[in-house]
Amino acid sequence: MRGKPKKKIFLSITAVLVLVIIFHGLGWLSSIEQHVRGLFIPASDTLYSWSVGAEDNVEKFESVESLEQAYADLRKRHLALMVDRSQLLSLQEENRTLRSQLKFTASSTAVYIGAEVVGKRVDPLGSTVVVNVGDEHGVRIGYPVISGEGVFIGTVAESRRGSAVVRLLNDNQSRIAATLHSQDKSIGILEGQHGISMQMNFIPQNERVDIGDIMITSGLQESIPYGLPIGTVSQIEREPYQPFQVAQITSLVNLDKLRIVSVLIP
Amino acid sequence: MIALLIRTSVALVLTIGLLLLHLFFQYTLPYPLVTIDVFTIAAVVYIVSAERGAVVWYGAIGYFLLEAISGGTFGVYLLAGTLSILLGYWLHAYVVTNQVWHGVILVATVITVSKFALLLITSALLGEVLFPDVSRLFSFVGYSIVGASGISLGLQWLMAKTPLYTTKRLYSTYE
Repeated sequence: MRGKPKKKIFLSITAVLVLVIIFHGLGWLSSIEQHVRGLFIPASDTLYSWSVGAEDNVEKFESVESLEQAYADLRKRHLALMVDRSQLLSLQEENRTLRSQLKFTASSTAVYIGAEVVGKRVDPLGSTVVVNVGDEHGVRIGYPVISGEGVFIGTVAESRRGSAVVRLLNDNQSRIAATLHSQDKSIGILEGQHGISMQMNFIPQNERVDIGDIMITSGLQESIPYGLPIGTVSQIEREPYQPFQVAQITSLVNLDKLRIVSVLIP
Repeated sequence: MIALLIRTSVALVLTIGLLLLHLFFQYTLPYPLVTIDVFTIAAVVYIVSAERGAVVWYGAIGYFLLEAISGGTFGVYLLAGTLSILLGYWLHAYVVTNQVWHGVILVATVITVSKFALLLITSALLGEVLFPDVSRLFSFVGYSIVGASGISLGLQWLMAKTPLYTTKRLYSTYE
């Protein structure tokens, strides 16, 4: 390398890399990439399952007081959920009765494709996971992905043969049309925040939002049906001089410990 | 020719092993240990000990393999990672030119900082506009530099203690 001008070396290396990227875009490298994935994804799957299983039932608290507070909050939430559940059951019964009276037929034809998370991206620039279903299973970009518990966790960002990349809701580029189960049923855009959290912006000041309100998908986005649970309001930022308020949303599941997910094929 | 083939094959096998090690660290280690970049450490150790420009191509292969199996826009890590290793190699070849401890830290720092800077630039060029949390990005980069420098220094020290390394230096292309 000595003796050759640095500029020439830099340009030639950059040219080779750009060519590789262009060939990837044209699909000329897909067979090589497929073989690479076939070689590494089993290992990635094993390593990822180790990492998820390592701290499955461990949650850390900074002090005894925070543990006691968390326990008290949990009991309160459990009681509220029991009350909601009883109301939900009666509403379900009422809904069933009304539907049969109107002879309403089920219009949902969504298919659920089960998948395992086999890898994830770990850097401050993105929050994505890799799942072991792809093109051949009918997975396409934009399809919603839910966790094993039925919580909406993200959308398909890239689909290829044998695997797909799912952009999680807390990814910086994630934008989802959502609504709050609040008094005013606030509708807005749920935005990911640097792989850490999510927030809903531009909620009018006059709309009431409470901590604990449940957020669901609004159904206003293509391929994403209405009613998928997302999370709960954990914090509200409300300044009197601002026209809008911001709600911080915490997912109902731990997005760092995903293992079994499902892709909704509309 | 045979020696070149053997050397290239060994390097490829090592690159695959490094990729598996990288995945292991990324998935299992907690923050801030997860900021350890195995490719950066391997590049620093190779640049300082072997002093060969082939490290750039080995890095390109490693990042290509990483891009093939991970999420994100293809080419972002390939461009950023490879060019940052090139910058680190030039720094060692034309500025540091010696196996001193501060040279190792400087090369590790330059590779890490340039990689993240290029990541943001290449992401923007490839249509993935990112607005990362600046404070989190700075702390991530800071921990990466500390991790890469510390581990590279430790590995260099260990390698210097082994008789094989001291009696038969890996050849240099600088003379």
